Amino acid sequence: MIRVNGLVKEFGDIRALDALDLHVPAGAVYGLVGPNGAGKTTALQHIAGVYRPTAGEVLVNGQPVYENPQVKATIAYIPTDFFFYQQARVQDMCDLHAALFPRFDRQRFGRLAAAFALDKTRAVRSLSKGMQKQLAFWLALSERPDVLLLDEPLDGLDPAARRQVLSVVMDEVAERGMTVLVSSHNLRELTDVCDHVGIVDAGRMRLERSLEELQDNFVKAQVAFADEGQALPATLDIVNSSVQGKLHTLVLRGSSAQVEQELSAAGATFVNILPLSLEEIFIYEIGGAQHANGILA
Amino acid sequence: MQTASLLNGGLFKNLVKRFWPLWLIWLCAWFLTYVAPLYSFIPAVAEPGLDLVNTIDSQISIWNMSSFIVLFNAFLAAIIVTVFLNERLFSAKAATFYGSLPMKRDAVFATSYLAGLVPLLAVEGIVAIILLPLAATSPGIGFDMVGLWLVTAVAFTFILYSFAVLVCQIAGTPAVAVFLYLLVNVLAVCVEVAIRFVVSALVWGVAIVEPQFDWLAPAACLAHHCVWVDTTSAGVNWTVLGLYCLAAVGFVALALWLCRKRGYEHAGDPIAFQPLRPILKYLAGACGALLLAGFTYLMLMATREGAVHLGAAGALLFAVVMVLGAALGVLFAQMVLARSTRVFKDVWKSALVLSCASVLFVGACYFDVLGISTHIPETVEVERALLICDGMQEGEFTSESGIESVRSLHRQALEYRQQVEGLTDADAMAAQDAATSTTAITVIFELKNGDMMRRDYEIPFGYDPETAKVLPGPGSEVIESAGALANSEEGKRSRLAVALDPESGCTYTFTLGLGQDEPEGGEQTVIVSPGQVKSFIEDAFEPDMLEGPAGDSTVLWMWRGTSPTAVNANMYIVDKDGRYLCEYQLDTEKTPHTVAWLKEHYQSLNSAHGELELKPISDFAA
Repeated sequence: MIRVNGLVKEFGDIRALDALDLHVPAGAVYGLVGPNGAGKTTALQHIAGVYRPTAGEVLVNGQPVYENPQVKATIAYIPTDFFFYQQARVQDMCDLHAALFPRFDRQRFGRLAAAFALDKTRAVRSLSKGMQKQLAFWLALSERPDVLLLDEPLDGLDPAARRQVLSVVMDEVAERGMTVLVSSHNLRELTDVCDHVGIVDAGRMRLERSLEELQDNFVKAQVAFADEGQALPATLDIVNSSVQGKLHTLVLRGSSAQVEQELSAAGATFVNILPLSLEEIFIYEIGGAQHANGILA
Repeated sequence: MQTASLLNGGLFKNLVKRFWPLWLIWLCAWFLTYVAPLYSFIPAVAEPGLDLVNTIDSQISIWNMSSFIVLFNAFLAAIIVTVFLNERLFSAKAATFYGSLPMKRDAVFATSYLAGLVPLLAVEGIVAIILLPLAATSPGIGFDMVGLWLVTAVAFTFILYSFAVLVCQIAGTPAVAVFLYLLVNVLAVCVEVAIRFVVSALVWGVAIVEPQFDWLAPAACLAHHCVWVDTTSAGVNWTVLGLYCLAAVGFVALALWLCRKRGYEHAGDPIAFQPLRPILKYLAGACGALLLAGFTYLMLMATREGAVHLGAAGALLFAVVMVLGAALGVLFAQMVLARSTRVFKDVWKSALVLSCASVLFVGACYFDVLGISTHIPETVEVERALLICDGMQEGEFTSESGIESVRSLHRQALEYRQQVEGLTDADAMAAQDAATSTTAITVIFELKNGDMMRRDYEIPFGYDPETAKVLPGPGSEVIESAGALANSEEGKRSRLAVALDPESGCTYTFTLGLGQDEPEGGEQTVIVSPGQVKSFIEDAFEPDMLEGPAGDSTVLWMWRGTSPTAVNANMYIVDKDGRYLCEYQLDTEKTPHTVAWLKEHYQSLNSAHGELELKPISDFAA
């Protein structure tokens, strides 16, 4: 659905994106994660057709996005700061979007009013930050997009509103096969909704997998050996390890079955496999062992 | 809505509707500055005793003043509307929104351009309709004048709005956009004037003339060439207006090109295009240097009479001022570009380059490396030469000898400069200090290749009022040569061509001193009748002009002195518009033909005081 090939973007001397490759399958809910300054927002802006690439291509359904009104009509983008003009009321923003987006569905807007309990006659500037974010979702979903791009979407929303918004989004995904690309630091919540994850660092894609694959290929194991000084098998791909007495706590790449088998074959007397959260995977993948120990301690 | 079309109706309607206060303010501005004042002088037909003439005069006065109001209103409205309607250029949030719209950039540009221009022009159309009843009923304001107003208002708005749109494509913040708009609309003129100030102060003889490059500054050019001066379209240079309208189309095309090149990520950057930043920095430095130099010149002018010509001290002053101005200009520009005040480390190189350029410029002027001040065109190169003294044209010379005389005068002025600049002798300095008068002498050479060369000189000279003689001194020879040239036959004939033409409608008037003993005392004024003009010119004026002081230059008259053979009678000539042409005193030896003619025709001359009887006179009272 969305394919980014070798995307480069330079802002003066700063290379924000460095040959980024990204693939979002149709109907997927893709979580784009990365440290601050990794290039997530820049990538989203390219997919929304706002920025012109320095090099590379951005395709949605095989078509380039930039300066392509037909493709952009199928994309809805909710940035960190959504644009409302100063004296607008909620209804005015509905009218504006209806005039500018060919697929905007006023009936859908009306039906979604129940989910987003905002007074249509109220001035947008009088809404709180969270309410403005809800309005942004309301407008975006009324556009009936095939692709929904979300940059820090849950920032400013209370827990109830977050649940409500995510519920509506997931309904759209289920009903219409809408593709969602979410950029967020809130990895715990992404775990609940995403089925694909891409980890970006320094403008490049470090890791791109389905969530299931990612979680299957990263495990945390607690291991004990009879001999306290016994070395760990060299075949293990250890990302991080710590020792307390006889108990080793290891973070490894590989499937849980494979790891368990190798540890048992090495003579471990105790092996306990624990799943890793997306947050832990991200930290170990990006920050390294020291950083991880500091954060996860 | 068609997403692929050039215009988007939804966006157009939204922008026009959203910014309705701007259109209302625009309408009110016209109403307050133009419509209401004109309508307040409608003559009430039923009102007896109304001074209709004064009412018409008042309307016409308002009309004449309004020509600059038209330009002023359009100038302000253009940038205000452009800044508001192009929020996507200045706000990152708006840029992201507009960038994500299912519209091509061209469509966004075209729609927002028209969403600003159409309402502005529509309001002007409404104002024209409001003025129609006034045109129908007022004897002072006609339909043609309303039409003139509408055409110029529409043209000014289109030109300045398109220019504002172009400027906004370069800027990334409203403040920079407004600053650039204001600056570029007058910059070329200011820079040219400042350069002329410096050159005229340091290069002997270079004059300050009207700006030649005002066509590079839209508002300045329109103000100079395209505002009307009376109730007709006189004063509106339709060629310039038409060319600028075409240029406005070019502005729009260039703005569209820049829009395509510009990234939305530059919203909020002071200057949206990276390559322009160093250019603007150097431009700001150069402008700072020149404008500070110009200001210095004006301050010197305020403390010295007449034109300012400076020596080495002046050159040093200008050099210092320009270096300071360059540094300040670069510093200010870098602060704006970097949005920080901590920019000293980044500016020293460009400030140094511009400082060196400033010193070189001043040095080149002071040492006249191009030889401007000493250049005198060859006689064969000259089509026509003009002599102007104290602002009055004293002669127009097309003959070889006449042109050669002007060249000779020019050479003398240069020699005078060399004399005074080389003065070290205390007596010579004292003689110069004794100068009691100054004459401004201008020589203009119109060359055969179409160029024009002008030189202005302030020549001081000493004058003895007792003897009415020019005192010897460095300037006296120049003054005497100028006087002789002005009073040569060719000089007089060119200066008095109108007076020598019997069909020109001039008035020839004698003022006769009748003497204190006469019952009526004082003076009597008699006018040459139309039927006698030809005779007067051929038999009196022209012979005395060629052989004597009749028609002599009035600028250089002061040393004409008194004559024992003069009579108490003067002749003065004015043209049909009442402009003074010449005056001379009758003298039995120096103007014998005029004296004889007056005696012969005295009784048949008209008296300016028709009811008075012409007094008998004999040889006029001394």
